[in-house]
Amino acid sequence: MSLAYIFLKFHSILLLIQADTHEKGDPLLSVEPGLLIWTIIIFILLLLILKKYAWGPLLKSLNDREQGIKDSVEKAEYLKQEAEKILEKNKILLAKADEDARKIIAEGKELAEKMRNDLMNKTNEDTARLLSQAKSEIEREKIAALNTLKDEIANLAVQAAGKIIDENLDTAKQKKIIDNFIGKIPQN
Amino acid sequence: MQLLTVFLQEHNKLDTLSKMREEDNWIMHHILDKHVISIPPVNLGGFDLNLSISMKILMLIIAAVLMLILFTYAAASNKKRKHPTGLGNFLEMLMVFVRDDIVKPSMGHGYEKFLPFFFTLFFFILFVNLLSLIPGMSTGTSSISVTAGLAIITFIMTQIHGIKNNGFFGYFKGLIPPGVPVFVLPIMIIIEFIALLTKPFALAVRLFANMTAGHIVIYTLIGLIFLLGYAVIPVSIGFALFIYLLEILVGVLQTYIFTMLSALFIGMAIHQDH
Repeated sequence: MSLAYIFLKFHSILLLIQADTHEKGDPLLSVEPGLLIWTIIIFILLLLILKKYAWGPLLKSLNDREQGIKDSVEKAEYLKQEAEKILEKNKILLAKADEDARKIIAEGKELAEKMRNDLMNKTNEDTARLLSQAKSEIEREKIAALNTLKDEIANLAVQAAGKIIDENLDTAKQKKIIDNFIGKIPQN
Repeated sequence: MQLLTVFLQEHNKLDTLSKMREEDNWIMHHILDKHVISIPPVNLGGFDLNLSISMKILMLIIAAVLMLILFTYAAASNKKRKHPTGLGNFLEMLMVFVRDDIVKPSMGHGYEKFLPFFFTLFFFILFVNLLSLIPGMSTGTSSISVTAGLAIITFIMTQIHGIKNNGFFGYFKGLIPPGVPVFVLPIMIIIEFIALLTKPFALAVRLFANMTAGHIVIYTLIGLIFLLGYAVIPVSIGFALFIYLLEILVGVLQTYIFTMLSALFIGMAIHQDH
């Protein structure tokens, strides 16, 4: 019921619009030359003014910025590649340096070992030599001391015997006898 | 029975209303133009040209002035800094949209030269369409004369640049698809010639009809309040608001379509080989 009512209302409105437009020969769809010409004039003026004062500068700044961004991105990409290359190079260098250092340390260790061994051998040798030298020296000194002692004893014996026997025997003969005697004494 | 009585009642009402209407059709009154500043008609060889500034022309001028202010401001502000902000950024975003999503794909290579034209076309129609949604303003593009003017500009641009790029005979020869048998040629020439004129006509009518229809619907919905009584206010206002929001979409969409088709036509006229 109410729907039909609303429909009828709409129908009446449409009829009204229709009736009106038919009477005046469709003012909605008739082209007015004045309006048309004004549209074209306004549009062309707007185009000319805006082209000079707005589109030109705006497009220029836009293109400049876009170019700038493009360049920056390209440059960043390039720099990144460069940096990666350098990093790679550094890694290789670092590895090489590491290896070198290890080698040098190993060599040093080896050298030190060798030197230590050499030094030890030499020291041992020296010690042995000195020891033998000292031994021979002692031997010689001992012999010399013994000889001196022999002479001293012989002299003392001769003197003592001379005093005891006094003139019975001449000195030379007695010395000979004692020397013989001493010679028979074992060295030690 | 009830329906019949209602129908009769309605007819009585309708009679009285149409009498009222003859004096004042308020929907048409709002849709149609009225003169603001009258200028005496100029006579051009027996043809009266009325160049009075009407409501719609005023709307076009307001849109144009608004564009001049906004875009020169944006240009100045974008020039100052390296990274645009605020209005300059927003307008530039729209410009990039027009350039990359409308003109570039529609026209193909060599589109840079036409960018100022398409920017002006796009923003002019957009501004006029959106200004029409402000209450109290008139709709510039809901007049066939205005849309016809814009379509004629596109048409002239198409012909001029088509002839410029392909030569006078080359251009008209290029309109006919290659490899057509000789006996079909006369028909093809007629068809292509009609197609040439149909394109701007369709452009004009499409924009005009879309911009007019929505406004008529809004006026009608508001008018329902006075016809059916105050009970329909919520429904009426709800629907009017819905149509109003739809009009925003339609306004932007029709601007997009008009610009895209213009770019397509000019692009086709320039690159006839594909």
